[in-house]
Amino acid sequence: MSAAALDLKPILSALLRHKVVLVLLVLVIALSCGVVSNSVFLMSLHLKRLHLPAGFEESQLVEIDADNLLIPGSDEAKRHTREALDALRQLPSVKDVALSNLVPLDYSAFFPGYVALNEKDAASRSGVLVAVYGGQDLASTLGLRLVAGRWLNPLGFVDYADVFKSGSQAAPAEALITRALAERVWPGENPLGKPFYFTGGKPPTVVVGVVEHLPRPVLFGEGEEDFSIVLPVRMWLDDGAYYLIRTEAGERQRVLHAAVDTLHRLDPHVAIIAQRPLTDARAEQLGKDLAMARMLAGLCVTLLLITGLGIVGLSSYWVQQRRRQIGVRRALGATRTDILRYFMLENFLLTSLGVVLGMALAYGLSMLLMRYYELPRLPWFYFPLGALALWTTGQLAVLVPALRASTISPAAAAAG
Amino acid sequence: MFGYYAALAIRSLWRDIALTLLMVLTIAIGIGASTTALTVYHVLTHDPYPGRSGELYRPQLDPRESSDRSNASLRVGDDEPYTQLSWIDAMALWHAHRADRQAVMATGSFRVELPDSQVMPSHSFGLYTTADFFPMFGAPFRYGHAWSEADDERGERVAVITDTLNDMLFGGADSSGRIVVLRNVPFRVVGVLNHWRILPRIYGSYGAVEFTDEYMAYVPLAAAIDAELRPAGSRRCWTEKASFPTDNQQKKSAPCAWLQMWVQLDSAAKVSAYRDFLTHYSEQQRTLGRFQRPANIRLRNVSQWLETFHAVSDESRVQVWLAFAFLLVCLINATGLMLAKFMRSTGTLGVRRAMGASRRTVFAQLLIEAGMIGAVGGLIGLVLAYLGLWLVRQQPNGDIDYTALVHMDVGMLVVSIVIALGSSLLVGLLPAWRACQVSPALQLKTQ
Repeated sequence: MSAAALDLKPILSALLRHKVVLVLLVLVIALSCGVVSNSVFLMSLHLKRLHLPAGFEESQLVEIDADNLLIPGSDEAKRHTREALDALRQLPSVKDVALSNLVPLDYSAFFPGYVALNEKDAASRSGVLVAVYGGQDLASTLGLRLVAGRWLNPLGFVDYADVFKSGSQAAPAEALITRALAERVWPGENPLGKPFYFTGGKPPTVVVGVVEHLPRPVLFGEGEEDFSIVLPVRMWLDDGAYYLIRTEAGERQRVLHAAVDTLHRLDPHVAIIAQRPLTDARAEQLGKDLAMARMLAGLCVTLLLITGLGIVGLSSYWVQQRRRQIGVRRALGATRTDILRYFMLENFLLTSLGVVLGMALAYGLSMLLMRYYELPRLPWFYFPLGALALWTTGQLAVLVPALRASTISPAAAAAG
Repeated sequence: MFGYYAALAIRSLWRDIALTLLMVLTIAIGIGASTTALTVYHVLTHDPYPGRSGELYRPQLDPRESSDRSNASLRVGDDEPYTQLSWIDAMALWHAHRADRQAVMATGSFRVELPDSQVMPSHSFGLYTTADFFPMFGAPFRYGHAWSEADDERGERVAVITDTLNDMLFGGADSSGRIVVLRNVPFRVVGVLNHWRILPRIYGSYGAVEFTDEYMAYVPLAAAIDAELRPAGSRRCWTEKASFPTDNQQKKSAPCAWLQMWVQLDSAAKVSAYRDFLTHYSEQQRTLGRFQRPANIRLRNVSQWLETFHAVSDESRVQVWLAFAFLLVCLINATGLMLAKFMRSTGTLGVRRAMGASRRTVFAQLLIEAGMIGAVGGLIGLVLAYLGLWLVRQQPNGDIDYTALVHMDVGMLVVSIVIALGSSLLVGLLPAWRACQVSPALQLKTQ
């Protein structure tokens, strides 16, 4: 401690003799610190979306979107729907088949609704924006996990078109909602048995069960990704429904082929609009997040590397400049460790100065990002994280020149 | 003289080869990262219809009920009217012919096959629109021509197809007069487009700004609706109980917005007249009881449209900011290193000054040295930028499929070179000036 304290005075006077270099170095460290802490935070936001819990058996599911040219509301449409579902259920390795109006984590369709606590809010559509899921056997095919209450009553299912056609007054009596949504709408309360309105001009629907997770098809809104409800509605193919098929993870491609062949056999004119495993849908939607996270990680690493190399370069210059002084100090009895410590301490002081400025910069940057890009505020622990990154980089970078300085012999004092 | 300075610079740089390489690398990485981000941004912000975008306007009306707050939770805010129009309103504006040109459109989703084909039909996206669409957006034809307004009025079953679909169905031959079957209804091909893949697309129904797959076929709106071809994409119904009817004939009277419209207005006077026309129309509908709100119209041109609806994701803006902060770090770092480098050679400089070289010549020589480092760094930086863009093209991008478009055009190349040269000179300026400040006498004394 006392040795370190003794070092401070010569360090400061030496530094002040190289003001320009000093300012440049501190600036670099400050900028790095500001950019790194914000980048790591942005990266964490993307990673969070990537690792969003599905809450259903994502790896066992495939989807098929098929266009059969059925006349809406016709008996033929209903007959064909039954035939197709039966035929698909007969296929080997198929565990469950559902028709759904939406596919979770597949952004190709989004059916929005507003969960409101009174009819007035429902009418003005000012409730909580949710995804409205519906379809027979949907909960079992997806493999949703119930955390409270019960499943939908199989006898209470009504036709999708009857609920959603123009002017319909009908609403399903009950619904499942996600835990996150329950927390938002009835914070701290038991949501079971609570009525809500999901669209204006209809009687209320009652919550009978809470599922762990069910993401909306399109992911947006921090913390709102899971805002969904499931209604007891029956889909027919003419409603524009998607087939969801549950199988073993290893069987997905084979089942997809067999299912498409089956649909084609039942209706030679069927056009397959989309067919893929559900994990592909997520990858497609979140591939950008992965790319962004990688890009930001690359940016941080390169930035720290550049900063480190800059410190190496400047410190080497410094050591060379002070060869004679170092020699003198060695001749006067300073040990190699003293010299090493001198340069490490000098770097620590410089970095600390940069880090203080850098934190202010990080805060400023975060404010700008919040204001113009609607990003959340930088959490406090990213500040020490940025500081730690720069201190580590600084100390590692200065090690090489400092070690070289410590090997300068006392004879350098006499050299020209 | 320049040759001599250059030789001196090379000798000086060679002496500190490690430091030189470090500086070159620092500048190169900075330039590489910033030009990559800037190119991506440039691709996303470029004007998709150069020369036309100032004349194309998107009319918007506000038919929402007074109590409707559904937009309040969205980014656009409660005051923003729907981007789309209902059939009644779109047809009223189209028939009014108040603009120099006007086109109404909806994205279509249908299967495509040949009349006698045994192969499984393929599914495509297309556009149901009106005749003016083609001249307004400058669609180039390989074969045939667009349909006429008379075809629109009569609901003629004709189609303009893309070269991609033409290659697929007809092997690239002139298919004018041939029949394609869209959702079981035969349409006669009248024209084939010639490689027209302009993004972002601003007339689709999936979003105000689309980067999705190519539209394969274009058919007259009236004929498409009549043939029960399905419109795809988003739609908003403004009365409580309404939902979008499945049947096309019912869509015509539904209180739902599902059509887009663009109009061409060739002068400022016409723009202002069209604005008055929209306000007047809106008020008239309110008197009739169809609309509830006081006239709340919008008439944005292409660039205002792109600006409003964020053709550029915030992410790529943030990327540009980050990349330039990165470049700044690199440049300051390089400045520091160059300062160290120059200060190290003050001895030689002192001798040269003592031998009669003026401060200005020494300064020029140092700048040449800095410029060389900058030039090499910039050059490597451009190579890195090409590498970076290649990497961007390899990334999956989800809903925004622009990555294939990310290439450096001539304009961007020039901008990159200017950035590279400018920043290298900037890097050299301060160190060169500082090194020149050293008095020759003092330097010689310390030697």
